[in-house]
Amino acid sequence: MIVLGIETSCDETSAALYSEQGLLAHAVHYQAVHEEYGGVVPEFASRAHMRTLIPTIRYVIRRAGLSFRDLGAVAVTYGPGLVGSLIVGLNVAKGLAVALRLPLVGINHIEGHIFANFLEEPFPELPGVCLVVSGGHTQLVLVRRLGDYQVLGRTRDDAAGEAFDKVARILGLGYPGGPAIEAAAAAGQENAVSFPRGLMENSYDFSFSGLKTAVLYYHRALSPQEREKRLADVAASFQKAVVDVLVAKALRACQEFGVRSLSVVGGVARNRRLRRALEELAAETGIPVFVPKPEFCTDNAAMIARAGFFHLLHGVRSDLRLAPAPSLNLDSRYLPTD
Amino acid sequence: METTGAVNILAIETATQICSVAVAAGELLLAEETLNIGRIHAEKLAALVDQLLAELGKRPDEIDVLAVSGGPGSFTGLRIGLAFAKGFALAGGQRLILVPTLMALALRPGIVRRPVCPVLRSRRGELYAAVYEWRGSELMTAVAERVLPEEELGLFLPRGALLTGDVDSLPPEIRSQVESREDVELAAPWLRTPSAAAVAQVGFWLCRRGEFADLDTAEPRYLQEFVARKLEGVEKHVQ
Ligand SMILES: Nc1ncnc2c1ncn2[C@@H]1O[C@H](COP(=O)(O)OP(=O)(O)OP(=O)(O)O)[C@@H](O)[C@H]1O
Repeated sequence: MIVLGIETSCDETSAALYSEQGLLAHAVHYQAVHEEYGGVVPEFASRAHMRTLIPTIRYVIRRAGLSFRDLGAVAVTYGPGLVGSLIVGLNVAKGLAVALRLPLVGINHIEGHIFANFLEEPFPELPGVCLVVSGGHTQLVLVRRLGDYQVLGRTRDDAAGEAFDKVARILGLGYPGGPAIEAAAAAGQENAVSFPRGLMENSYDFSFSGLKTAVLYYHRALSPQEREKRLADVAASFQKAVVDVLVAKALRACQEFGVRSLSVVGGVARNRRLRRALEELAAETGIPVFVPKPEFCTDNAAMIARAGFFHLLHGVRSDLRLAPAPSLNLDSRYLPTD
Repeated sequence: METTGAVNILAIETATQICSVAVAAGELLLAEETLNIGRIHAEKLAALVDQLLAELGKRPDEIDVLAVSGGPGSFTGLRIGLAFAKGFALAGGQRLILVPTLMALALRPGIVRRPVCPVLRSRRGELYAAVYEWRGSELMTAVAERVLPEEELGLFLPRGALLTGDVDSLPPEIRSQVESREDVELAAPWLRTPSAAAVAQVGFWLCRRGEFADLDTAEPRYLQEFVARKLEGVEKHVQ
């Protein structure tokens, strides 16, 4: 069965094809329009999806050497995300499903991120802990098995990627902030400035707003010349603070629940400093750590097609009445007993 | 009536709070389903199309053309209709037609000898308006669609116009100003609302003229530029 996956929850327009043979084709169209505005402008995102989704789908079909008749199902992100963006992907998916009389399956975007580590073998062994760190979400999830999740903690304010984006803005770096901070940090000293970690003992929740404010005050107190001179150090110290918190919480969850793997997914998982810290953690503790290829960390339809493939095999279908769910939570589709 | 050989049109109207779908063979309406129960388009549209085709015993690939109400109207409503139509046509290889929403609205009161002025209210409290005239049994554009401040409706309405569309939601002063004009007539209330059957009819004319939209790049007629603040101004927000 060949599953077409569609992802338009935020500012990436993406399509992919997944089957028993694995990933057949995928494409992500990144909307550069938002860069000038320092963040995603929802109206622009909706408009861009409308212009680019059809060519993106055409591209993956052509790339895989297939025709629409070969498709077996359509999987599409229905939330969480920007409602105007979700609506475009969801309705294109429904149009395809009605015209081709194919099953439709709605995918939770966060669950999609979890599936990014199941695109290529070896897959993480379960139960595992999965840390979802993106521009919109920071969640620590206990994955008992695929389809069965328990959210252990989430951010109480900014998501980790959002913290990168906001701090990048404070420091006068571009958008998206994650790559900009990572680049600026390369020449800096990580222990140059000691920013607060916001560890919140006894909780798996996260908080990054204190850290962001600390960077803001530190930056404001500097003269323009000092700002330039200290930029790399500030970026490196901030990045280290985020990485420390993420790694510490993930490790604690792994130990408490005695899991067989740790996965880290979402846009922030592209960060090389974080990836290095995770490798070190794996080496020190023996816990197998899984991080997707960079292109499958940020939003993409490959993970959506993969999640759809899994649910379809378990007989899950969505009704054509499936509505966009902008603030969807990660819920289990399968109870531990079934 | 003979319908074989006629172009099979699937029409979609979601530009306002009305959700309407229709199938026509040429100029003959075969089926129409219309819901006026609020903003349920995201949930209902696909199921409505599916059911209508099933009722007609038509396979999706028997549809030749998709005619979509292309705006102006509610951005979200327009996106739902157009995105669905794009997905459908991408799979089936149908041609896509973007029907001007106001023209389909102007068609509903029937063939009249007056200029027809349909209006729709925008979310920002302005009006989308245009003027059409009948030439024989086909509507022609007399004044192109535009965004109009409500107060200017009186000025915009040509002499002897038939006013249709969102008349009831006009502010009372504007409404009574328009109603007090002896040359202006109002369309019957039950004919002032959008309908997919009208979209199918305009779609038929555009199809005959070969006025198709490009499936890949087609966008709704937003008529409103969207302006956002660029990065320079943004730093002030960061606190
Ligand atoms: N190298 C990097 N280092 C740190 N952060 C990064 C890096 N690359 C990308 N990011 C961050 O990842 C985020 C984008 O990730 P992603 O596409 O997964 O999420 P999103 O669409 O913003 O949100 P969500 O997936 O929650 O809907 C941005 O906040 C960006 O700054």
